[in-house]
Amino acid sequence: MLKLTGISMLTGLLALLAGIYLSQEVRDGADAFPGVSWNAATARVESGSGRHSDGQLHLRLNASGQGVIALPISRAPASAFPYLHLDVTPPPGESSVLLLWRTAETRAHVHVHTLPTKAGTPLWLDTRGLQAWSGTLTSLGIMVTGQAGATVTFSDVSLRPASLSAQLQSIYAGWTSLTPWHHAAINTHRGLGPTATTFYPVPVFAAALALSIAAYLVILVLPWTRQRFDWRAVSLMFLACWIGLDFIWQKQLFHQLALTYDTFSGKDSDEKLEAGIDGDIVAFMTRVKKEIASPDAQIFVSSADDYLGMRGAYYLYPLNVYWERKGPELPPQKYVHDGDYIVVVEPAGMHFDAQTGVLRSRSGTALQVEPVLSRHVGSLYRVK
Amino acid sequence: MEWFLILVALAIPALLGGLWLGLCIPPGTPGRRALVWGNGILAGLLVVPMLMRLVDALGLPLGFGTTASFACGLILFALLVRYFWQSHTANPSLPQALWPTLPPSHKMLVAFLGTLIAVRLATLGLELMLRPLFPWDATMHWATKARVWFEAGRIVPFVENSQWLELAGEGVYTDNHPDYPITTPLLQVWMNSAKGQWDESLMNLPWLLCLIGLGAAFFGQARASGAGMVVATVFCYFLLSMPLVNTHVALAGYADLFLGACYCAALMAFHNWSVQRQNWQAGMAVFFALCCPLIKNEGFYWLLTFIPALVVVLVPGRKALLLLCCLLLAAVGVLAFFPPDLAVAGHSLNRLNLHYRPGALAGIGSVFWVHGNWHLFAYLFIAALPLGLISAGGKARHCQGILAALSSALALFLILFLFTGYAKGAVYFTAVGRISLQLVPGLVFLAMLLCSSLLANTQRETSPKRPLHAGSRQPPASE
Repeated sequence: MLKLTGISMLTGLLALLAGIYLSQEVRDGADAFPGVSWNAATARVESGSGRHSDGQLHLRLNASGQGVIALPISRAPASAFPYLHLDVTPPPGESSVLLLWRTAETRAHVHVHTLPTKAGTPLWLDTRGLQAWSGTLTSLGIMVTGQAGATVTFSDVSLRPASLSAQLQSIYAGWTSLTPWHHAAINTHRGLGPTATTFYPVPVFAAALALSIAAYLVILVLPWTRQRFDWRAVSLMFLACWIGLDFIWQKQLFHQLALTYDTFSGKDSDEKLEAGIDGDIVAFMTRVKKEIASPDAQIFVSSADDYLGMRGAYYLYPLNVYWERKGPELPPQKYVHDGDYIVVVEPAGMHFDAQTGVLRSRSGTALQVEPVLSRHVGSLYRVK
Repeated sequence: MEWFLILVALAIPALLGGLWLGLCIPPGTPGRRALVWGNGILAGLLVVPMLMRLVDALGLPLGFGTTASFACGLILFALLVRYFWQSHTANPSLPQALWPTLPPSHKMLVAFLGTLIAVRLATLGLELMLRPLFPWDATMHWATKARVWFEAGRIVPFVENSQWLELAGEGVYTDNHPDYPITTPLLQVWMNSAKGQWDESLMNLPWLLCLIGLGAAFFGQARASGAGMVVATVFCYFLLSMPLVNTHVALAGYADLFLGACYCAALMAFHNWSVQRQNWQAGMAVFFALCCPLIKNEGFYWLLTFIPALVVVLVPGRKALLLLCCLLLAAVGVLAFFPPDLAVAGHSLNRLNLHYRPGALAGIGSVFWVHGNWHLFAYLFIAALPLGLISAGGKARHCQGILAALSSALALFLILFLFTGYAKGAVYFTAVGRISLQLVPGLVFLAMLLCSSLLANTQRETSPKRPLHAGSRQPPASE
C-alpha cells in the first residue's frame, strides 16, 4: 500500500507541476526577451558610494542616509519579466529598499514599490502583482534609505522571464518569506508572504491531494494492479499534504521567533514595551503618568487615529481613562471639569491656542487648559 | 522565586481540575490520563476566575494568596477524598497498556506526530513569553480591566462611556466593551498577582496552557469515543497545528481560543455521553456548556446549540423532528415579535440589521478554503461529512447529537455573517476567522468521529490486519 501511495503522490505532484507550468502567462512577443542580471560591474551607483568585492556591490549610504543604484536596461516590455530576484543585505536599524522604474508610456513619472527585504533572505518578487508594471521599461533602479554611512550589500539583482524554475522559486519564496506579526494576523492567516505571489498554498496543496487521489484511482483500475481501494492510502496522502503545509508554517514560526528573540530577549516587561512597535507612545505615556498628580484624576484621551488613541489609553491604565472609539475626540464640555487631564495623541483634530490657552476640538468643545507636556507623539493639558 | 510562583500559578488550575476529574472518571477508561488532565486544565482555567469572583464578593483582596488558598483548599479536599475513597474501595484491575501492542509503523507515526506537536508548543511558548501584549482588542477591552483590577486588588466596575461621563468616573472605569465577560482578564490578573507585578508577556501563559489542555482533552475524548491511538493522535496533531489556533497563542490576548476550547470540551463530552451514557461525561458537558457564556457573549449562542442536540438524543425519531420544527418556528416567532432594541448577550435586532448580504459569502469561503487558517481541514470536512455518514449507515445516529449542535452553530455562524451587520467582518476578513476559531475544534472532533468510523468500516471489509484504530474499545486500554 505504501508503494502505491508514494507512486500516486509522485504522479499527482508531476501533474500539479505541469498545471503550474501551463498556467503561466507569457504575453505575445514577451518570450523573446531573455533575463537581465546586473552585477557589481554593470550596476551604476548614482547616490552614495560603491565598492566591489567578490562580485558583490557594497553601497555606502550618503550623509542624508540615501543610496541609489541605476540598473541599465534596454527598452523591453515589462510583462517579459514577471519575476525580480533580489539578494540584498539591508543595513542594520530602520531602513527601506525601494524599486524605482520608468516606462515609455508614463515618461518622466517614476513608479515606486517598497520591497519587503526586512527578513534578509533573497527576495522573489512576482511583478505581475505590481499595478504599474506594464508598458515598456525605460529605466530601472533601486533606492535604499537608512542610517547615514551604513552599507548595503547586493549579491544579486536580476529580472527573470517566465519559466517553470522561476515560477516555482517565486512561489516557494512567497510561501516561506517572513511576514512579521501584524495586527490582522489575529483575524486570518493568508498563508502568503509579502511578495505578491499568485498562488495560495492551501488550494495548491488541495490540488496536489486531489491529483494524487485521482492518480491512485487510475492506477487501481489498470489491469495489472491487484490491490483494492484502501482509505488508509487516501488518509496517508492527506496527512502528507497536511504535514507539507505545516512545515511551511513551522518555518515561518521559527523565522518569527528569531525576530522576536532579537527584539525582546533579555528585557523586562517595561523595556519590551519600549522596544516594541508602540515604543514612542509608551515612552510618552510613561512621562504623562509621572505628570499626573492624582491617581483619581479623570483623563480624556483624544486622537483622530483609532489605533494610537486606543493604545495611548491602554498604556495609561490603571489611571481612570476615557477614550471613545469612533466618537468625537472630546466629550461635550459639561463633562470635563477643572483638574481633569486631556491627553492629545497625534494625529488629532485638536487645536491649542497658546495666546488664549484654549484647546478646541473639531466637534466644537472649547476648554481653558494649561499645557503640561508636549512631545512629537502628543501633548498633555490640565483643564483650568 | 518569581518563576516558581509563575509555575505554581499554572499548576494550580491543572491540579484543581485534574484531581477532581480524576475522582469522577473511572479507571480503565480509554485515554483516561489525557481525559483527566486535559479536561482538568480547561476546567481549572475556568474555576480559578470563579474563585476570584468569590474572593472579591467576600470583600477579600484579589491577591494571589487569597485565591490560591481557596484553590489549594479544594485541591487538598480532592486529595483527601481520593485517599479515603481509594483505601475503602477495591482497586479495579487495569487493562493492559496499549502502546506495546501497537505495530512499529504506528509507533513511529505517533512518535513523529508527537514530536511535531512538542516542537510547535515549544515555539509558541517561547514566542508568547518573549512578546509583550500585541493584538488590537487585547488592549482595547480585555487587558484594560485586568490592569485596573490587578492594581486595585478588587473587581472595580467598568461601565459604558456615557455612564462614566454621567458619574464623572466616580468609582467606575470605562473601556470600549465594558460588558464583556470577565473570565479572560481575571486569568491575566491571576498570573500577574502570582508574579507580584504587571508583566505584559507572562500574564498570557494561560493561553499556552489552554492549548495543551485542549489537545490532551481532544486526544482523551477521541480515545474514549473508540478511536484508535493513531487516529486520535493524527487529529490531535491536526487541531494543534492549525495556524489560526497557533496565532491565538503566539499573539495571546483574545478570548476566542478559550471559548473554542470550552465549547469543544462540552461537545466532546456531550457526544460521548450521548453514546455511552456515563454520568461523568454528562457532568463535564453541562459544566463546559454553562461556562461558554462566561468567556464571551457568543458563548450564550453556542450554549443554545445544545437544545436541538438534546432533542435529537433524548426524543425518538419523528417526535424529535417535530419538536425541532416547533423550536424553529418558535425561534422565528420570537424573532418577529422581539423588541428590536433589547440586547441579548450583547446583540439587539436593531444593531444586527437583518437582511441578506451576498458579498460576505466569498469572504467566508476564502477564510476556510483559500487562506491558510486551518490548513486543509475545510477540504477534509466537506469530504468526510457525506462519506463518513454514508459509511456509518445505521451507526450514524450516534453522531446525531453532536451533528445537531454543530449544524445549529454553523447555521448561527452563517446567519451572523450573511444576514447581519457583521458581514463586513467576513468581507474584510476580521471577525469571521476569530468566530470560526470558536467552532473549528468541535468540527475537528466531528471529522475525527466520521473518519474513524470510515476507516474502521473499510478495515472490516478489507483485511484482518491490525487496523489504524487499533486499541479502541475492544479490549479497553489505558495509557
